[in-house]
Amino acid sequence: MASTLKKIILKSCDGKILEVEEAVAVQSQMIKNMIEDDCANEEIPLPDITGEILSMIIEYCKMHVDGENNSNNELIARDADFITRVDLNTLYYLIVAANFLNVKSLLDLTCQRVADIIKGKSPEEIRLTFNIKNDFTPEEEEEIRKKNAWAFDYKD
Amino acid sequence: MSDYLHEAVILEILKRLPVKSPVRFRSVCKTWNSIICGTCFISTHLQSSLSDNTPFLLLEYWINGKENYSLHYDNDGFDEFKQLQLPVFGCVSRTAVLDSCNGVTAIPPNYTFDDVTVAIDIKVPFVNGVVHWLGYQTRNNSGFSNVILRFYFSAEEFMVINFPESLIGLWPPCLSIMKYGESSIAVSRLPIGDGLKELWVMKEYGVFESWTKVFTLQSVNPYESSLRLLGFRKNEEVLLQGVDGKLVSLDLNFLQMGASLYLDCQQIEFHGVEVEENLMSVNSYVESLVLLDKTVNV
Repeated sequence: MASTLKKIILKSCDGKILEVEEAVAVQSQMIKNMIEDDCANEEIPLPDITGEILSMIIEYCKMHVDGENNSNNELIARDADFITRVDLNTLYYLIVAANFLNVKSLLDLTCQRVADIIKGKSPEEIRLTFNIKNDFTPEEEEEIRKKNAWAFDYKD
Repeated sequence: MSDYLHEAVILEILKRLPVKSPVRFRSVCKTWNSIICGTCFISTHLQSSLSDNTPFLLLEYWINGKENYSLHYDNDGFDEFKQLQLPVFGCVSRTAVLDSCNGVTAIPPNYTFDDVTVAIDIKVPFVNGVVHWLGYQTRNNSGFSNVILRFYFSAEEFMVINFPESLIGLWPPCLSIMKYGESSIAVSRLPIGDGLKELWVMKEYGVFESWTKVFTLQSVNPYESSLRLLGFRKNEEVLLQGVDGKLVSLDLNFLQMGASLYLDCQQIEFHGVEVEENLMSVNSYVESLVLLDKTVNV
């Protein structure tokens, strides 16, 4: 069937061109919509997504298409294997891209991974991790901490 | 990590955290604080929590003579979800005061109020992204009148739904609110120490005129006085539980609205399903129900 063999051409922000099978590309709701609207016949430029990140996303989508007949547990194991290989910096760009391309399962996976990483951290560690500047005055920070003192019990 | 985290991305991450973490992260920076305190985050986080079936407890307490309300997760930590600003109502009904002991004792030692005097725990029907409480407001010189308080999480504001006239002056513990259909509410009247007496549904959510009395149970034998309303099925059936643990359902489509219902055990056999005495949830039993409509004498 012609439609299953159709290739979608994606272009990253750094000029990398990737040809993707339609079945893989439609894992992205955004691309799926474009195909349905007949807007995916030319190459699709993806601003803000580098070739490296785009390759990872395609790898992920391919894994899910290929693994369609696998058990749920197998998919979860593959997801876990995929995500633990990714460092925090890359995770961030994956989230941005998954959000833009609207690949829901990947967005869930990446955001949950970051949530798991940061959930036990202190506000100071969060600032270090995300390179965030503390723009509270010491008084303001103290006030917020006092109000939410119960949340500073880290045991769980 | 990037110098610039998109707010949508922060939101996606934070909503997946257990409730303590985002509360703690309010002190990270002003942007995070405003995201976490924002209505968007609160309702998103609430949605994901509700999908985990975490119920809420409403806690009422007094500090320095001032009444406060806060909403808590019914989890091991009794974590606070949010402080509530109640409108000028006298107070929220203490419908379930007796049940609340568990809620209070669940407060961990590090979580103390200056002066906790009352705690209430109310079943909170969640309909249309809105939670509903039974409340009452004082009337001029004539006691109080019952109202349904609806709290919009997205807008963080309270609104009022008025009860049908005949229910306004009742003692609040006689009334109980529950979800009806996909998107509306029902009220049952059950005198204390007695079973179900009356059932009202709001056919069209928020439209006062659409309050409809479904039935009045007439006391003819001990059987019906012990009926307990469990909830509604999607197909307009009312689920009831008798004192013997039998589960029965009434098809509202076969009832004449507002009719008096005589359930006489001399004439009616409960074609019900025996269930455990501690049945709390209807859902897992729904499929095994037998209809009662053919034997109900309306």
